[in-house]
Amino acid sequence: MSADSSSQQEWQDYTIRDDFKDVVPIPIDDEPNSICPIAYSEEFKITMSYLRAFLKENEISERAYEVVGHAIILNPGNFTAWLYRYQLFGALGKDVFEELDWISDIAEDVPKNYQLWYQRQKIVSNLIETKQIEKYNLDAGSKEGTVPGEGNLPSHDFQNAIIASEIQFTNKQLANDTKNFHAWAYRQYIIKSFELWEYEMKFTCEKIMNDIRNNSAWNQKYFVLTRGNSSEKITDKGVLSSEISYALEKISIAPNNESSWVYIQGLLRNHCPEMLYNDFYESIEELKKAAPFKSTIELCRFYWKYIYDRYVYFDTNQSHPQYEQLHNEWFEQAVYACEFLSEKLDPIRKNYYLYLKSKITK
Amino acid sequence: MKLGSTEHRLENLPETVDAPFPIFLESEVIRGFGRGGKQLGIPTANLTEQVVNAALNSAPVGIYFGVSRIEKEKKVRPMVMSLGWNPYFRNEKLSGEVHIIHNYQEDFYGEEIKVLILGYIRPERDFVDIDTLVSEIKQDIQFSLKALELPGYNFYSETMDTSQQQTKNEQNTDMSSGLNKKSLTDYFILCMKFLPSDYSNLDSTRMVLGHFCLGGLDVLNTLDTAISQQVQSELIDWIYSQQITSENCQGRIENCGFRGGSFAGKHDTLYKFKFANTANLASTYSALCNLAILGDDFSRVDRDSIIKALSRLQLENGCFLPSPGEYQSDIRFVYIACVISYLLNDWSGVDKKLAVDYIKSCMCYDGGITQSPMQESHGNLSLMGALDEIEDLDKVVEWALNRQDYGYCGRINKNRDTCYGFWIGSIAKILDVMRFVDQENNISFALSCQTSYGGISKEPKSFPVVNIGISSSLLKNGIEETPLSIFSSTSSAEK
Repeated sequence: MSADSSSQQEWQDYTIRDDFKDVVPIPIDDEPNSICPIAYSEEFKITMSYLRAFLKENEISERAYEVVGHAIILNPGNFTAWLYRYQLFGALGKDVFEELDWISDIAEDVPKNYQLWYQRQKIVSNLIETKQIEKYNLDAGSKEGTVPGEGNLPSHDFQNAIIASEIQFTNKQLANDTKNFHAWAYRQYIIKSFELWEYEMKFTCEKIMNDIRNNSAWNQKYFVLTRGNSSEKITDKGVLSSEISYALEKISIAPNNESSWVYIQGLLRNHCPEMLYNDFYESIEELKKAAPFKSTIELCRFYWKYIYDRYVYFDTNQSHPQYEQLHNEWFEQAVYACEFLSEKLDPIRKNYYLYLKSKITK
Repeated sequence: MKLGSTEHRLENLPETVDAPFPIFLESEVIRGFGRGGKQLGIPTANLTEQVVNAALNSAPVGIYFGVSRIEKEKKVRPMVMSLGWNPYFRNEKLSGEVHIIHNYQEDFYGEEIKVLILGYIRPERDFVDIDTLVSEIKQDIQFSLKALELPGYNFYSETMDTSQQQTKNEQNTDMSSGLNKKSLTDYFILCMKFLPSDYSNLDSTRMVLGHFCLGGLDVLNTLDTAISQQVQSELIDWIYSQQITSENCQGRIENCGFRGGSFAGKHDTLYKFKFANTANLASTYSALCNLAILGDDFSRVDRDSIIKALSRLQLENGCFLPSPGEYQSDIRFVYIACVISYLLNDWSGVDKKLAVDYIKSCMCYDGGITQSPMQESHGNLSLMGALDEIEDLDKVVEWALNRQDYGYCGRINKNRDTCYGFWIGSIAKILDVMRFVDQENNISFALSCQTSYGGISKEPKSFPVVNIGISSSLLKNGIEETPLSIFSSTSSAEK
C-alpha cells in the first residue's frame, strides 16, 4: 500500500512554507455519491492540491520537482505524476543516478508498482537513443562497474556504469522476490539492449539451482537461448541436446516439477519436434534404467502426459520408421496413461484426461 | 437464513454445521462491562466492537455455542457466547461476550482470542433476576457441551489448528449456500462508500475499484436491493462527470474517455501540462461496464471521441498505450481496447490484424500467454489473449487446466490465489472447457477465503481485498450466468 512519507523524511507543510506562498493550490473536487472515495490523509490532500497547481502552470522548477516526488511516494500509481516527474527530470538536468536511486527506494516499498519500472526503462532507453549512454562507459577494472557475485555466480565487471547499476538493481530485487514479474521483464529489456547473454545464462542457471521450481528463471533461460526473439529458431542440435541433458538432470532431482517439463517440451516443440519425441524419449528411457528413478518417473503426471502426446504425435505424423509395428503398443500406453492420470495421479483433472482418452482410437 | 430458536433442544440442531456457520472470529480481548465474573460468577472474554459488527453481518443477535482458543494458551475449549445488546443490563452498546467453559483463574485482557461459532442456541431475553439468568446460562453451557459431542460437530473441538480447520470448514460448507451473499454485499457497498487511506495508491483508478464493487453486486444479484434507484442515478451522474469529451478535452482528442476519478481536478481548469487531465483505458472500460451494470443507455457517452482516442493509442506493434504520453504497453490494454470497441459496437479504432499479431507474439513456450513477448506466462494475461486465432489452443487449455491444484494459481509453481479462480476460470469458459475444471474444489477454496470482515481474501486467513470479492462471487455463481461484467463482454468481443 502507499508509502508513508514519514518513513522517508520529515514532511514540511507546503501551506506554511515561504517558498510556496505564491502558489494557489487546487483542492480536490469530489461530489457527493462519488464512487469509492478514499479517506485521504491531510498530507495527501495538500500535496495533491499543490501538484495540480504546478500541472496547471506546467511549472519547471525545483519546488515542483519536490512536490511531484512527494506525490509519487504517497501514490506510486499516479501515472500523471510520473509523466510530469520525467519531464522535470529532463528539463532540470537532474543527475541520472540520483533519479535511479530515488526510484530504487520506491521499489523497496512497492516492488510491484508498474510505473516505477517503466520510468526506469524510459530513462535508460532515452540514454541509449541519444547515445548519452556512452558518457557512462568505464575504464577496464573500474570498481564502479563491478557487480558482486551471488552464490556460485562470480562477480562481474560491466564496462558501463548504467549497465552495472541496472544489473545490480534487478539482482537485488530478484533476491528480495525471486519471481517478481516486473523485475524479470525489466531485466529482459536490459539484457537484450546490451546483449548480456553470457552473463544472463549464468545468472539464470544460478537462480534455477537455488530454486528448481522458479519458473520465472526457467522462462529467462528460454529467453536467453532465443536471444529474446520469439521468432528465432534454434537450429543447432547440439544446443538442444545439451538442454535435454540439463532438463533431465533437473527432472531427476524433482520429477514432479512442472517448470522443467514444460521448459524442455516447449523448447523442443518450438525448435525441433522430432527431437522431442525421439531424442528426449530415449534419454528418459535411459534415465529410467538408473534405479530408483524408474519408480519415481512412473509416478509422475507430466511423464504420462508426455507419453500420451508422443502417441498422438506419431499417430498424426506417422513419421516413425517403426510406426506400423509399434502403433498398437503405443496406443495401449496412451490409453493407460489417461486412465492412470485420471484415477491415480491427477484426479483433479479427471474429466480432461477422460476427454483425451476419448479422442484417440486404434 | 432461518435461525429458529433451538431453546436447549439438541434435536432442533441441524445434523451438521450449517450455514451461516461456522463463523470464524479473531479479536483482542477487551475490558467489558465488568459484571460477568463479579456479578454472575461466569467470566467472559469480550470482543472488540469491530469484530462484533463483522459477526452481526453473518448472524443476528442471540446466544451461540462453539469453540474458542486463547492464543497464549493454545488450547481449544468449548464456549458459549452472547452476541448483541444484553437486555438485562440495558447496555447501549453492542457486545460480543465469550464464556470459555473452563475454570480459569486469570483474565486475558489484551490477549488474542479465536472463536469459531458453530450454532445458535436461543434469542436474547430479558430476565427478571440474576438467578434466572445464571440458571439459563448454565443450561446454555450444558447445551454447548452436548452439542459439541454430536457427530456433525465434534471434530471442531479436536483442534482449531488453522489449516486443518480450514479444510474442515470446506468439507462442511454446503456448496449451495456457502457464499455469504449478505456480508459480501455489505462489503461491496461499504467499499463503494468509503475506502481507508491505505487505498490512496489506487486514487487514479477509483473507477476500476468501483467496477469491482458494482460488478460484484451485479453478480450477486443484490444491486437493486442494496442501492436505491435515486442513488444509482447519482452514481451514473458521477461516472459521466469523469468523462473527457470533445467539448472539454481542450483540443486534445487523444485524452478522451473516462478518468479514474477526480484526482486531476475540474475539467475547466486549463492545464498547461498536456497529460494532466487524461482518460485512461482501464477507467474508460470500467466506466462503460459500470454504466451498463447500472442500466444506463450510454446516451451521454461521447462514442466518437473514445474511438478516435483508441486509434491514437494503438502502437505499430499492435499493442495499446493505456493513456497518452505513457510508456508502458502490454496485452492488458489490447484486451481492454477490444472490450471498449465491443461495448460501443464500433471497431474502427482498433486495427484487428495488428492486435491479433501482437497477441500471437505473446504465446509462451509452455502454452500460456504473457504480458508482452518473451515474458513468463501468467493467468490474468492468458485470459486476455485466449483468442480463436491462436493455433495451438490445446496447449493453452492444458496450461490453464494445470494451474489448478485445489484453487488456482496464476503462474507455474506459484501459490494458489482466489482471484485466479476467476481468471483461469474465464479462460476455461471462453475456450469452452469448463467441463474439465474441478469446480467443487475451486469453489470450496474460494469459500475458505471468506473473511469475518465480509470480503474475500487472496488466500485463507488474510484480509479481504476489493478486487478479489468480485472474482470469487463470479466464480461462485458458476461462471455459467452471464452478468454484464468482464468476461462475458470478452467472450463475445472475441467472436
